[in-house]
Amino acid sequence: MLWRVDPSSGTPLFEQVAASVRRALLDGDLAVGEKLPAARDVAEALDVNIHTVLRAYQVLRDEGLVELRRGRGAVVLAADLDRTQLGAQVDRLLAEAKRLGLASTDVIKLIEERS
Amino acid sequence: MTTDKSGFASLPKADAAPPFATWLPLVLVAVISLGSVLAIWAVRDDLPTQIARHWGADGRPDGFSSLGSVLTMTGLLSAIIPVVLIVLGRALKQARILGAFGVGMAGFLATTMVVGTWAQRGLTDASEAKDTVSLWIGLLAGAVLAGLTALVLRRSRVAVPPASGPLPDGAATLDVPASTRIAWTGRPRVDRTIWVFLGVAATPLVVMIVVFAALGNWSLAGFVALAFLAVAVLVSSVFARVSVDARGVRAVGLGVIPWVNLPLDAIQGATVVDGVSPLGDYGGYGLRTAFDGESEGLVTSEGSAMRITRAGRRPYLMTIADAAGAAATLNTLLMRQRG
Repeated sequence: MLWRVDPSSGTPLFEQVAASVRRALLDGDLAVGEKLPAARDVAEALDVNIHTVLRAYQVLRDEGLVELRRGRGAVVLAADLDRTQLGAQVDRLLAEAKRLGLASTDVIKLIEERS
Repeated sequence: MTTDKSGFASLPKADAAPPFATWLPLVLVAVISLGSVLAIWAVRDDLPTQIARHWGADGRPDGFSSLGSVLTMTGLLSAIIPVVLIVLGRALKQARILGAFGVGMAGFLATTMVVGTWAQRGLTDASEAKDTVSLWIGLLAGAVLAGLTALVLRRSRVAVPPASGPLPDGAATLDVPASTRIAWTGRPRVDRTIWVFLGVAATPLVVMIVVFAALGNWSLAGFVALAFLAVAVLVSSVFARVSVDARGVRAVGLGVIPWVNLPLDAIQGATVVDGVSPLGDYGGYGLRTAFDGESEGLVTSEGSAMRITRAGRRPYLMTIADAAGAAATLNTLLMRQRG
């Protein structure tokens, strides 16, 4: 799985680490029962503080996505993130754009302006 | 890959082993073999007329020979297989590894036979000869000799300058801003066939341990158990955790064993290749060198692999899940490093 953190972005680092895990679950790069790498290893790989990664794992635990087991580390509990919710939001966005007479390319431009 | 004057492809600079890497092990094996014969010759007056040379599973001698036969056998047996291994190493383009292993094997065989014979000094009847320690002392001697030989042969590896220049053809990168720190983690794919091999290899070992223990031969049972453990540790390399980050490519097993460690500046680039066959191309699973000697890697599954090209070394392949993601991450890190 891919890990991405951008220190220059406004999002806290621990949230970006958690987002990397959520993205991997979405893409199917992580399966239920799979163990995430040790926090220390992720921290060294990304050159961030180990507590940043630990906090990310705790956030994921609070969301019910992973289980933190003593001695085992973080194990994926649920991989039922899927794109349907995101897809539904895109459908609503496109419907609203259509109502306003905007094409999908206009929507894309809007998204890029805001990213 | 470079071609030498004869037009045949030769190994990259840092992989090609000089003739010394074969001559030294051969000389060492000769010395060990001769030494073992002399070691027995030196105590010939204290040995029984019929010397025990083989022990059964229950630890009691069941094969005897005269001094002449024992000397010949010791000299030959401690040399034949090691020499074959060393020559095979040159043929398979793995001269250093098999050279060191050959010397270790010669040390093990010679020491085991010498110790087993020395234990019979002062005996008139060799059927009383006991042997519980020769295998362990032989193992220690063999391991030390293999390790020392490996250290010496390692120094014959030519140093190469850091990788530079463009990425190889077909090398993909990630579309991420330069400020984003990236890393990739994952594991090798594990073919189910590996479990079959494991079962086939493990069963006789387990049976031997049980049988020897039941016969009260704890020394032999322990020895086979140790062999079993060594095989288990080697097999665990298939389950290593692979990582790609700014330090390079690593595969770490059991939390601490660095099976693969490729620093970033030794890497030229990475692509994804298909059709890798561990059995067909590499003769097995795990950390292997290809039969044709033109690549090496951690091969654990049929199918696709990340193919890492290196400066002055043969390509390194890894049959990981999501090879494309790993390769793209690696190439992005390389491009950043080269500026």
